[in-house]
Amino acid sequence: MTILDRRLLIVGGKGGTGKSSVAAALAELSAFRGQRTLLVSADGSPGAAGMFGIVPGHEAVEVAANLSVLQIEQKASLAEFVKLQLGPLGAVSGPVASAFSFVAEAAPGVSELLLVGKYAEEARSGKWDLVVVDAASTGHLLGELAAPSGVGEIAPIGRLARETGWVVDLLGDPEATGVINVTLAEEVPVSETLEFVERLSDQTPAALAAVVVNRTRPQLYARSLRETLDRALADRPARMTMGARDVFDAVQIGLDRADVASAIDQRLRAELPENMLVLHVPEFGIVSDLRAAIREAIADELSL
Amino acid sequence: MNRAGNNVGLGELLEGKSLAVVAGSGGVGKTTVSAALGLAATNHLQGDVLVLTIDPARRLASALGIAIAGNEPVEIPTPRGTGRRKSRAFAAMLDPGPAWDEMIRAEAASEVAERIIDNPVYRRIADTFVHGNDYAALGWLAEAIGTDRYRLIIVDTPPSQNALDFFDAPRRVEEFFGSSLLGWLTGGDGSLVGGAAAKTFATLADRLLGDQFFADVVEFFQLMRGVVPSMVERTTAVSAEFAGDDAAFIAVTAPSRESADRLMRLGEVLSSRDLVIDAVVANGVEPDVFWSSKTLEVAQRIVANERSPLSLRSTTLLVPGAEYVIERCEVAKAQSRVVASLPTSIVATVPRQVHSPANVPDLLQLGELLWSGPLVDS
Repeated sequence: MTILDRRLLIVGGKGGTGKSSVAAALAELSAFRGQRTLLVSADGSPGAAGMFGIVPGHEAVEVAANLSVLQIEQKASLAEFVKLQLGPLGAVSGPVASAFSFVAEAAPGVSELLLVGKYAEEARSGKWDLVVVDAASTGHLLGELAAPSGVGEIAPIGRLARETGWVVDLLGDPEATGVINVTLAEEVPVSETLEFVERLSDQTPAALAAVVVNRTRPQLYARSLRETLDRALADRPARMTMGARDVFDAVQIGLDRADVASAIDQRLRAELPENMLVLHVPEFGIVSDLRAAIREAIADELSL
Repeated sequence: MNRAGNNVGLGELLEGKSLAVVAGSGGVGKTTVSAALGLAATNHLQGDVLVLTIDPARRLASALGIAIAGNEPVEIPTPRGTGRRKSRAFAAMLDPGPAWDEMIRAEAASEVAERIIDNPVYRRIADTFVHGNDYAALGWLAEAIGTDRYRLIIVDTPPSQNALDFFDAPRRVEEFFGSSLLGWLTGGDGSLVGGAAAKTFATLADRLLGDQFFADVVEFFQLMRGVVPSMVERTTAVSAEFAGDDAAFIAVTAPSRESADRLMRLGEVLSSRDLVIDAVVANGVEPDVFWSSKTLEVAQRIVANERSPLSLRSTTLLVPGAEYVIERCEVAKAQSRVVASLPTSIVATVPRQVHSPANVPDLLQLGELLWSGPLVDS
């Protein structure tokens, strides 16, 4: 079983880690395998769903074979939910609708629940084999994933509370749902990932499926290469042209970066739950198709 | 090509200001830049400096090596002999819950304030209200400005998807609580006013949310109606200061096309509010050695094993390293195009560090680079 055999993958991570690109790459890999795949942007921007040449909207649009995209908007989700739940009575508009959205916003976790409920609904609809979500950054995502259980506590009588049971069940089934955290082999992102992992298991029903460490330099960690370069640097001539000196300095910077990254990567592995899947995606230079490069790197890591 | 050629210090700008707002999308280093500028400012300005961070990730404390318990500013301990030290630097991290409570207690009679604070809806709103953090931050900033204690206040804002939400927070709060509809629906005495619309509303709320919750909502909105106007007035005044001459707006970006595009969009939205980005910090550019055309040329000769200035042995051993260097030189070239396209005259570039600054001396050094620009570009 690979991570792509679940029904719902929720991809989160600190800003700047490349979470949207990773989510898009996972969705494409799933589609290439012939799975009917939906890629959802749920962090308030077009994100991953916006990487396929269309402006994503609230309805799924097919952008490639087996691959559809949509962007969740909270307002539209609320209107849809009210209509679904209340039938003709729900078809309110004008002042009552806007007053109701005020109250819904005040209700704890309701807007978060509607967000999670929308992509959970897609995942259980049977229309897709896999739903990949480009989710909010770490702090917000925890709030969203905790909401379905939390709403039940504060508004236990309302219909919304009855509606949360199946969402909690889906999120809490590790065979069906997995959370993926995207991080970098740097001090702050890794600390944040470790905090996220702890809070994910304490505060939400969802389970971590994998951590993706983006922009690593695996080739510079390789021992044979290191030995070669260390010998080259040890042989550094006392006198040389400025350009040659710069190249030595630049290579040294590369090795120092790789050392720091490798140490942080080891700390991450040591502190993550045992046997947690950790995928490494290398840092790329100027490439014509970054998403394809990331996709191939992930495919290699998953042995697809 | 010269990285430093684009580099102008921010000191000249900040010397004339009492408030600096630092914005940018998540992960670009806003908090680090804010803390670094705050520390550097104590070397250049007469009077204390306060760095306020509103970032929910709470990164400032770890970067500064101090634990900040709540909303009270704490002096940043600076090692002796670091810099010229004209004044002191303080830092505080927003803890939205207590900040809301303080605001409520400051604005409402004590009995009303306690009823509000005990209301379960209030608790959840203070903790999770979508723009609650932004609003609490403004209230807190209003207080800091009001004390007149600080020569310069540096505000580290939430990520730029929300940067505007931050400035708009008073208006949103006013809309949220001041809606005449809500006032009308919840009536003067807590009972629902009649009429088909009100009935539909109550049915909706009861069915979806439950009746106890609905009763709490009604009480909450009633209590808040008396408090909101003065709260809004106070925070609107702060929000207005951002557009004034005493405030500088500094945007932080990664030196990538996508990040710069986000910054452009932020600039456009800000200009619709009469706010301009005064300076940009491009954080994480490749260091100078990758910007020199000489470096690229030699690295290419090493890889091609042709006219290399080094011995054959050195040249052969260095090939894999030189490939890395060529890649990074190309990235540096792309970064220089991004930096050149940034929409302000003041652009400070910060080189990508092997270790991200994690202590006060590192931050101070970074702050000096940001404040004065590089001393000499060798």
